[in-house]
Amino acid sequence: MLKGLRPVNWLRGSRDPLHAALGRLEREVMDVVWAGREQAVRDVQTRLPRPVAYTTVMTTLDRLYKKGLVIRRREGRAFVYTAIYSQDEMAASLTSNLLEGLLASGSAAARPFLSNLVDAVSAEDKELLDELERLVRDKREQLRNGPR
Amino acid sequence: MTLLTTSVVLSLVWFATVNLLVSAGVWVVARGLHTRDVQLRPGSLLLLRLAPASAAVVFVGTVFLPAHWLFESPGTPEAFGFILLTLTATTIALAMRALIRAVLAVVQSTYLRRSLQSRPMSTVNHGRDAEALEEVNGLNGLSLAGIISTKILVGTTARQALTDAELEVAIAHEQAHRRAWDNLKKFVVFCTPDVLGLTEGGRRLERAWNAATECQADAQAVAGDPARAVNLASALVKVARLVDTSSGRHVGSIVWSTFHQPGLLETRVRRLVGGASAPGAVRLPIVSLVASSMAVTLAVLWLANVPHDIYRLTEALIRLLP
Repeated sequence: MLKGLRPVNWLRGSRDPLHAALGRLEREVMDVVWAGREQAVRDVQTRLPRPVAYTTVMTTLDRLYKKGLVIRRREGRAFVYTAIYSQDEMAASLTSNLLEGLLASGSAAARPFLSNLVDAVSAEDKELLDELERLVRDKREQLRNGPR
Repeated sequence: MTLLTTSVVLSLVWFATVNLLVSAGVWVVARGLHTRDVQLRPGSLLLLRLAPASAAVVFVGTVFLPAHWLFESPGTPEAFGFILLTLTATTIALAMRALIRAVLAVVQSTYLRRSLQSRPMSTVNHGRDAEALEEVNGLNGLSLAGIISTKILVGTTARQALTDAELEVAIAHEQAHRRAWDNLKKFVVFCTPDVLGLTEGGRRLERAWNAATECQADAQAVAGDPARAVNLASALVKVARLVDTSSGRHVGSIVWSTFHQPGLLETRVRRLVGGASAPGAVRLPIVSLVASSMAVTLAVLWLANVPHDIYRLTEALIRLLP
């Protein structure tokens, strides 16, 4: 049902499985999508709690669409997005998927899984690092080319 | 009961009372803070964080104790009830906690400092702080080590991964922490005896202060130069990757400033790249302002004979409280 989500990391300080399963920006975008009805990229961008580039929001929404978390329809030249599942439905689904998988695998099989969770505590969000690196690269490029 | 004994017990009582009241006030303010509130000056946040303990010490030292010695007749029999004894015990518990935390922080910092095999790093010119630079084998990232006498530790892996320009601005960031005595301030915050530190509001305030100090050090390192800002942002991302992937040591004490702090990475990089890390134009002399306003307040209190009222209130509380 829910594709492409990160492994749920229970030890990251949040009790919310959504927080652990989605990237930070994905979660923030989902929060905005959940808060309203149909929303265009620009609507989502203006309602985010921090400044994020339009193209970044567009890419994130596209990723959420591919993961099956939002649906979209064309309105004029742009897409408008709606959440498929409510926040509670998605949290319940993630939690039950995780627990079912863990219990079905037995204690020996669960050990590496738990070990991975512990390892992941110290791991920086790779997706975030990629995004930040892209930002730095773009800014460096912009400085190199001078003010436009 | 001697005058000395009553002075000690009642000082502890007033310390706890003022501490609780100011902690409650600061807690209300701190509830609205977030680590994204980095536009707040670290000095103001530090002042708020230290307000309960400082106010309690100032009140006891300049109002209660002088008034008690001035107006109390030696040899007056005093008996303290349950509430006053509980407040006394609260202050003793806070002081013990502060002492234990101070000892732990000093021991941890000293042990870590000695356990790191470092050597002076002198190949790059880093101005007047050059003698404080040390390279450490197998250490990830950079750290400002120590509490009073501090050294900037540069991990070998970080030195290899960063370009000269990135390394220079990353070191400038740690130098800014060093000049601001940030490790000593962290130590004081960590050990301050107050009720606020036991609450989520207090911890939120500490996180906001920490975020503000990091952003201020970034701004000082960058000095308004966009190219330096990009180099610092790039260094932050590279060190974050190093910490993730390298098998090197990621050591640090609770009172050391560390270049890479996962929770602040995104905020700092976005600020640097977005040009929001320029140093503020107006620098208010916060310490002088607070000290002068405190001196004026105390003078007014004594002129208005408030210490005598405090003495009478204390006597009434001794009689009335269970």
